[in-house]
Amino acid sequence: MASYWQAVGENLWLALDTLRTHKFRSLLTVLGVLIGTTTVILVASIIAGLDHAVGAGGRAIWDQGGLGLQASDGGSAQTDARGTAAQTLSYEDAMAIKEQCPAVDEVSVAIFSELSEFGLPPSTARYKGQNGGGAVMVSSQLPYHCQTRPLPTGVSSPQRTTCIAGTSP
Amino acid sequence: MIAANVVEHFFQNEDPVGKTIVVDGHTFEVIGTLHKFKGFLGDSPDDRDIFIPYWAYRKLYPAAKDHFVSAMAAARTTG
Repeated sequence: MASYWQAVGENLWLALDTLRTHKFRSLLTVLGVLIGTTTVILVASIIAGLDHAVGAGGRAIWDQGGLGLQASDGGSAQTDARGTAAQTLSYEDAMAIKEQCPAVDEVSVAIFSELSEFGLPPSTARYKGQNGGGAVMVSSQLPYHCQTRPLPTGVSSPQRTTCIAGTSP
Repeated sequence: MIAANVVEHFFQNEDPVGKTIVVDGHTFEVIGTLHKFKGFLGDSPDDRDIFIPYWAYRKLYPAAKDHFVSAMAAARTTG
């Protein structure tokens, strides 16, 4: 039994002696383990975060029975997968959905195209001579995931048909 | 309606509601603000939006025509 503990002690001293005599190599070994472990944790965290973010976004829409359609109401002709001319959507189509589909509670019409796509300069916003600029987007209604602060007393609620007119700064 | 970054940019020390901002040369009154979006990787571009009435936008920017239509089903209880 004594020889067992003596062997353990000798091995321990040998290990410590090796660490002492090869400090840089030991440092590199520890560094490698640290970097490897950190990378694994980081990748796992990013994947979990992305999964959560995408899942939450999807659930926010589908929990409310959301459905999205997008099409141009004019411009170049488009064809669908069957080779036939694709139908286009307009504000009137959205209103027709709202009036004629009893299962639909809310309809939103938005224009997400940036003005720069049409060869126009990006929108700018200005307040008291201070400028800010960015791409312009339009929406007839606040997105589902928007949470508005309560409006102050005396201020009427925003109209149902509102739109994103610009971004800033 | 203006989003959080617009509020921070223009109205750091004052209440934006009731103030007027100029968007592409057109004056709009701020009637409300939005909370910051919860983006996974930092700020969301949605935090820089300015909302104005739909028809005002169509009048100001007639070239923008791509519509995105979204519909939300009404809640129904059965039984």
